[in-house]
Amino acid sequence: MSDFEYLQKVTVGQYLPLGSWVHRRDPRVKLVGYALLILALTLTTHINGLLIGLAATFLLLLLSKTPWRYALRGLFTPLPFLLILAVLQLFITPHSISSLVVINIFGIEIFPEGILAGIRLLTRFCILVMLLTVSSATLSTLEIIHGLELLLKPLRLFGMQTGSAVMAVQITLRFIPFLAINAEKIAKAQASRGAEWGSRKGNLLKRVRQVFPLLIPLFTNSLQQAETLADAMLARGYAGNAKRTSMIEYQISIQDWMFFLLMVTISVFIILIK
Amino acid sequence: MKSFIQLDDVSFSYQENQDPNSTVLTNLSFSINEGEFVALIGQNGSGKSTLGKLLNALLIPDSGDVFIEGMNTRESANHPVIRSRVGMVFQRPQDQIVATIVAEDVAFGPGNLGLPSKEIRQRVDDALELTGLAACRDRPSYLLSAGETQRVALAGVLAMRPKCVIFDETTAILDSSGRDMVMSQAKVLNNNGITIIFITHLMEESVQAKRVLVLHQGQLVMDATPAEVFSSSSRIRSFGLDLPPAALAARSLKSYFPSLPDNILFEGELLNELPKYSGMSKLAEPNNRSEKVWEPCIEVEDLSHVYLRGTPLAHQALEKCNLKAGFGAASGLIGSTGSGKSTLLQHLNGLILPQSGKVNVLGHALNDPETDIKALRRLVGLAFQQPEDQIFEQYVGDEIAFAARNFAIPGKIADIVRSAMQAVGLDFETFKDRLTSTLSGGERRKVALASVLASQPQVLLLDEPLAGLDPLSRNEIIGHLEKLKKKGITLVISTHQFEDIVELMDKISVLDHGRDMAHGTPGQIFSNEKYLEEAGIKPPLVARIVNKLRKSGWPLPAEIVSIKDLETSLSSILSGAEG
Repeated sequence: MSDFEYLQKVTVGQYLPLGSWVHRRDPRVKLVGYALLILALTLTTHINGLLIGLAATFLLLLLSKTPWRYALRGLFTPLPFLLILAVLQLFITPHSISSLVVINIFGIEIFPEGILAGIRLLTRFCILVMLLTVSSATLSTLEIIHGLELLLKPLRLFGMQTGSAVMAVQITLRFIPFLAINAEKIAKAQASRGAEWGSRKGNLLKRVRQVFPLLIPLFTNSLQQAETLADAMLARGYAGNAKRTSMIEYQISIQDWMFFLLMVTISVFIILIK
Repeated sequence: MKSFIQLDDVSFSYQENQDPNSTVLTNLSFSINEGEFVALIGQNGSGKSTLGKLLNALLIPDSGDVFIEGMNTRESANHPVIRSRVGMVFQRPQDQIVATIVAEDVAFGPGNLGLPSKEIRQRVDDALELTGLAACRDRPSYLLSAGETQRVALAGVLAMRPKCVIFDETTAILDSSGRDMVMSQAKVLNNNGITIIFITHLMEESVQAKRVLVLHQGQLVMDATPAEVFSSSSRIRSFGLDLPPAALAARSLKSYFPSLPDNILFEGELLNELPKYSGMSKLAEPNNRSEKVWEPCIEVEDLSHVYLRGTPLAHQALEKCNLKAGFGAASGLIGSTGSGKSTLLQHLNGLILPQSGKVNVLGHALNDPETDIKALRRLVGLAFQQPEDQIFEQYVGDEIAFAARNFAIPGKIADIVRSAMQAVGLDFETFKDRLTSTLSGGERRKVALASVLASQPQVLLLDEPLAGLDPLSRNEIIGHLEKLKKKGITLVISTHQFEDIVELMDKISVLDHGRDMAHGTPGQIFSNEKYLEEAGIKPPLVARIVNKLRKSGWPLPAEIVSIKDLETSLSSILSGAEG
């Protein structure tokens, strides 16, 4: 695998047009369903809740036909950070007076509570990343936009500009793959002229230091592209808060309700299980 | 009746930009009627794009007025209607895509018009059909090729059913078939009554229009038919432009073929008017230029590469590709967009490591994990397709110094930067403190080239070095490359704009769908027209003239790659026939 294929490593935010049963569900039920599941997984304190969440994520992967390898690869990029967080948990988790020291490294005592907390954190975030991968694989940007638009509609009664907020979300989503592509181009340009990118040498610290010269041009490039994009949007008649219509009309079917109920049930289980 | 587009004494400057080089338009007055096909030409930085943006109210003039169907662009209440009447396709395709799925992007404009869903679906289908994108409907927009993305952008504009479409250098980064496609689509639209304004750097495109506007330093210096605009070569050159290639060739050939009519503008016209050979039939002189044998510098064997390997979006870019390039030679890589040229180039300095197959450059084996890739990159410089993607520093001086610093090139940095800038004709004092964001297209290309030369490479890889340049800058860059070649630098040039640069090349390799289809001298490669057509490549004009002449019996020797070669051969044939 090439060191420069950032797009390949970022699976969160990428839609896969696989046309599965999950893909065909109404965006509103998907949005609310995924949101509930993510919320439940974030709130649950019990390892059993996490296990149910893991099972639900696997079920979604299966139903949505998302390839396993693809979903798992998305874990590699955040894994180092997650591991650091998990290791921190070993030391900072409070323990009861009666618990026994499992390991003693140079006077630093590690207790079972710490180990459990580390495992919980690692599982929780891995499930969340996979869940985000599968939800973005099954929700196209237009679906997110339309779903949000429809869900937020009631807020207009209170005078809120939901249209602009939703457009902001759309543009942000659209920029994710382009950021990856831009980062790849800049890193390649720097590497060709002697920066350490993509060569087989260089320790972790060196690699981290390489990121800063990348970020600044990435930022300025993106700003310039955003300017052109703004022009292109205006040229195609976008006018801020004017009412927009969409290509697709949505109607919630019985199958959509089934999906919704399934997601609600799982979420409730995750939170309540002891 | 009022004209469709009318400009009354329009002036414009970018106020936030204090740079004196910023584009300024002064006192423009002209009008365009409904259904016209107008080409807008001018040097890099002459104000063409700015003018385009004034026409659909993306910019408002400082003084004077722009009227679209009688509506003043000053009134913001008119903007929605004006923008639905006058659509615009921009130069960089990826910067105008709003949604991540093709059909959704096309639906963006009609959605802004507040049309009912059924109507939007109909328009999206029609626009995709018209641009030949029906099969790409549900594809992610960021994974399309440049040509496809440009067609998506056009479809997005067409879905608004505009009365006028502005093409703002839409063809600049496309290959010849992509350019032909855009041009033929513009013609179809024009036949349906849509007004076309075609902004371009390619003179051969501008002659396809019925009317040509020439901008020079922000002023409208000519407004006439193509025949009139290109009637005087000295006048058009004074605006930093040139005659279309067919006209240039016709002028050179006129002394050998007196029957050629004056003022030929089109390639087709020239090819049809070429006379039959009437002299004694004889065999073509054998080519006495013996083929030079090069010492190998780059060897690629059975190289394959798959992007996004192992994902549902995997895409095979190279398949068992081979390439050989000699020390000090200039090798060309040609092929349509998406044929794998850029991917192959990026293997040659280790930006992409071989997935399978062998790559050897300057004795470094890139398959070997022990190879010091950084050391290789110092010797093998790569200039990218779009200089915007390559320039990442704020100041020109820093940009060019980057490689020298990183590779710790011996010597004073300032001296290295100065000599790199000299090699591409940039003045050190004027440019070292210029902001990179204020450079014009031609200058940017030169800075990008200088920044690669700063590491004093032995091999220079160039990805589309001529894209988006006006004729003057194009000739300058070719001149600088010639000088580098004379210095003994090995060049590998990937391009689909080979019209002029082909004279520089010693060898050419043709890529098609990631495979190497043929290798040979320019003369060998371009004499096989039928086969090139299959690979989607249009031979350069000189080659087409030579092929046509051969078919009409002219005993032309092999290896004619420039008009000068052709003139030499013709004069020897004609004097022989007389004598």
